[in-house]
Amino acid sequence: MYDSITVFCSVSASEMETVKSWLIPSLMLQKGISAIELFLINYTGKNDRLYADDARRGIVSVHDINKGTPCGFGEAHNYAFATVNPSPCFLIVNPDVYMHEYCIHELMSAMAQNGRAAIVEARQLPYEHPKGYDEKTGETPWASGCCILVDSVFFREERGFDELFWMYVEDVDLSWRAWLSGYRVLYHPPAAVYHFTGHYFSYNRYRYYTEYFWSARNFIYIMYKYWGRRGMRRGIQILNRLEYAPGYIREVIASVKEVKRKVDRRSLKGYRRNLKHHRDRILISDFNVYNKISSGEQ
Amino acid sequence: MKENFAIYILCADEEGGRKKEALFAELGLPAPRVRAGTDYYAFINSVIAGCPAEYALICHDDVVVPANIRDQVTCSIAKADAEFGADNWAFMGNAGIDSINYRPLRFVKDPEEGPLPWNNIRPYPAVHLDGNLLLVNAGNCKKRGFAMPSELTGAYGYDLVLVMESYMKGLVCGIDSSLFAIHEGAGEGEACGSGRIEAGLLDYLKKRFINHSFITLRGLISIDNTIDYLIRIGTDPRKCFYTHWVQPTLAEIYSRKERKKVHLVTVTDGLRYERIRRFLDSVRIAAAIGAGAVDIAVHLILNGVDPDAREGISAMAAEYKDLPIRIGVAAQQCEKDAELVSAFETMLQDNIDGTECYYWFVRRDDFVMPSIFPFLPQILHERMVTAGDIQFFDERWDDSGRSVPSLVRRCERLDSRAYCTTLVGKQNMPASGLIYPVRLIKEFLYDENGAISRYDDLFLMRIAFRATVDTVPFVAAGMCGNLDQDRADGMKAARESFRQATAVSRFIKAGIMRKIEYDYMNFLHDDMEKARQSIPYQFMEALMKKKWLYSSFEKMKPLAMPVLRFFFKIKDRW
Repeated sequence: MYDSITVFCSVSASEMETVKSWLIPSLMLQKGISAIELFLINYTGKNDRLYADDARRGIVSVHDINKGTPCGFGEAHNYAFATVNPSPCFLIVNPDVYMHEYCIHELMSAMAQNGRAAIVEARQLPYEHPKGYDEKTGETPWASGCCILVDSVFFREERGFDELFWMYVEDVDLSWRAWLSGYRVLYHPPAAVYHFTGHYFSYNRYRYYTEYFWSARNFIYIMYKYWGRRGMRRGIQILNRLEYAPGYIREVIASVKEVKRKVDRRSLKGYRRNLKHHRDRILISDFNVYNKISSGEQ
Repeated sequence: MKENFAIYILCADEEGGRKKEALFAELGLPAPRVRAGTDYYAFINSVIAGCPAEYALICHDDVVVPANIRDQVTCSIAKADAEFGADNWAFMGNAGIDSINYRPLRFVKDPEEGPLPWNNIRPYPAVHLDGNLLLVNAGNCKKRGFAMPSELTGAYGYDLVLVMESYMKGLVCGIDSSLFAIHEGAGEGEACGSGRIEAGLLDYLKKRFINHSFITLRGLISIDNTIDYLIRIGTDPRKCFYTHWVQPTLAEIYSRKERKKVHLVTVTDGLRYERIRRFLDSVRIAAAIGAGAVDIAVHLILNGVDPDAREGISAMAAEYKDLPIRIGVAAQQCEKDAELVSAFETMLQDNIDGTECYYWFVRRDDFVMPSIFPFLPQILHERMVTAGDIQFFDERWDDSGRSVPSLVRRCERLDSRAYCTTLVGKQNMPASGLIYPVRLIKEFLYDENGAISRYDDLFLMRIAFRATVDTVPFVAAGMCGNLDQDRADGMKAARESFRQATAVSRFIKAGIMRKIEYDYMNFLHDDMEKARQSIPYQFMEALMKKKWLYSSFEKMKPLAMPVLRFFFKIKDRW
């Protein structure tokens, strides 16, 4: 039995019904843990209070956090981490998940049993995330930010997520940085969450979602971040092969150029230098599966 | 008798208009109001403003309406009123794109369309309507201030714009088979390429919507739309046509209708608790996701369960206090291939019925997909069976006793439209994907002699042949199992197929094959479209244009269907 865990969930007012009816009830049913501190991060920055019901729901205590300005996924979690300062680890979870009753217990056990584990990822059901992992060790090149347990020391050392991503792919970046810094990233199938993500369930195929844009834009950005201009060119080639609407790729490339101007290029040299030691993990082929699926191509 | 609708026709010239009036008079049809011109945008506005009746029927000048058009219009109005509510619809057409499946539905005979349609029970909400024949609810349009945009003129794209404007005013558009007509025109063919969109329409779309593409009967209209992705949510005045206008309008309308009650039924032998728990977990999530959409009840039917196991199941059910779970005992102990009929028999004996009451049988080990629940008010109908897709998972369980498998491999997704392939020997439609209204179960559970079907597949085939089965693209259930084991079961099922052959021969004899033929053709629609592009097909088509060959073909029509089926079956090999 574990004492307590801090849970961060980046959410807006429009997603609160989901949080109230799925996430919080599933947290209340967690076994093998005494207390859960749930922090709802208002990423819209608006002043409205997200959660006005009972602050204490069974083993779950619910709190609001608001930076006051709109922020992306990484920025929201970096702010929450700095504010709450959780230790020794914390859970990041999407608002649209329903956690299996042993999920948190399994994640915490896996982190306790595996030295140097920076991130432990839960399995998504009914559709498992299509990516590879070592069935014996559980090691995986990257962990999806849908439901991950993160080591606080590692997160602090790495200064959290890269905020330039805004949303999507920052989880891949954080995982790769964990490998580069000598940590491990694990996939732990006994910990399960039901994730009814829009891609499989409710996305409209004739609409281009903001998610698609960020997914494509950040795919090229991460290619640039780790493989420089050559990587960026390769990313654009891949993007061109996917059937996007006219003008869409142009917008994506314009946005990548904008982010390139903001990035501190000297900081990237360290990543690129260490890549040769992790050629089996930092692979664009593996990540590309994710990218294709995120963008609706199956 | 005063008509409750007026017929309007827009003709290119006055001469054509006079001919049309004479033709209508000769056939004893209501006198049409003929207008000369080519601007459909202004024409529709003038029809709505000047219509002396509550409804108007707008036809192209190359549309032939049936002699019973009065009855058909009356029927269509009644269907639309019943489905959407009398105050909530604007236009009904005979062809368009269905808003749930985004599939083309055509209840029109034109040079591009071959088979006559099956009569549908209800109108389908549409995201695009073909303008060949439109029933306009002029009263609703006036009340809600509907108007076609004045900046647009001509005949291009008006059928898409009128649907958009309707939804923006909170009015639904629908497709209904009652408005069947013959459209002699050739249609606009491939007029929807991005390079051929008229500048006015392009501007209209760009100003109002964030979409990059719009689906129409004539293909996708793709536009080079610009989106500032950094604009905060809610500050861009443009919206997504489908998710902001269509879906909420439909959700609002269906939420006002009588609330539907879905009874989820499963049969258990008391073994494999963890799978039952997984099923109950899925229902619990479904209840959360579909909260407010439908009422849910769970029925666990015990089949040959010993007393200890029964206590165990009762204890498990007690853990799900938030779900109304009822535990019953099967009316007759049954084998695995008769669980569905046995469960339904038990439910009916226990008098679990009522209007807007549906049974959803979930086979043991399977679970429901919660994402379909918010759409159930729109897709369930008390006179139709609803078939959802099935996702097959290949999974392994360890002995931890938890309600999640230790390994899951996602396998194939079974298309709900494949339910009709039972006819050609493929058993592609598992029972868990079908949701039945109680009134149809009462009708089809018993055979012609009044005896209950003793096997699930006989019951399923009777449903496929006789009832209207509406297919939806949502995954209704997860079907789970061990792939190797299932293959072995498949072999066993194949050995038992003589029962199906017997049933099929009976149905042929009873003359009820036409409906399933239509479904089969509909299932093959996409394949047909691809096949039409193939060289062998085009070659055959060219040959058929020779009159003597075509007349021979007509004579051979009784044989044509099996040949076509065979052609599509083997086309993959080509």
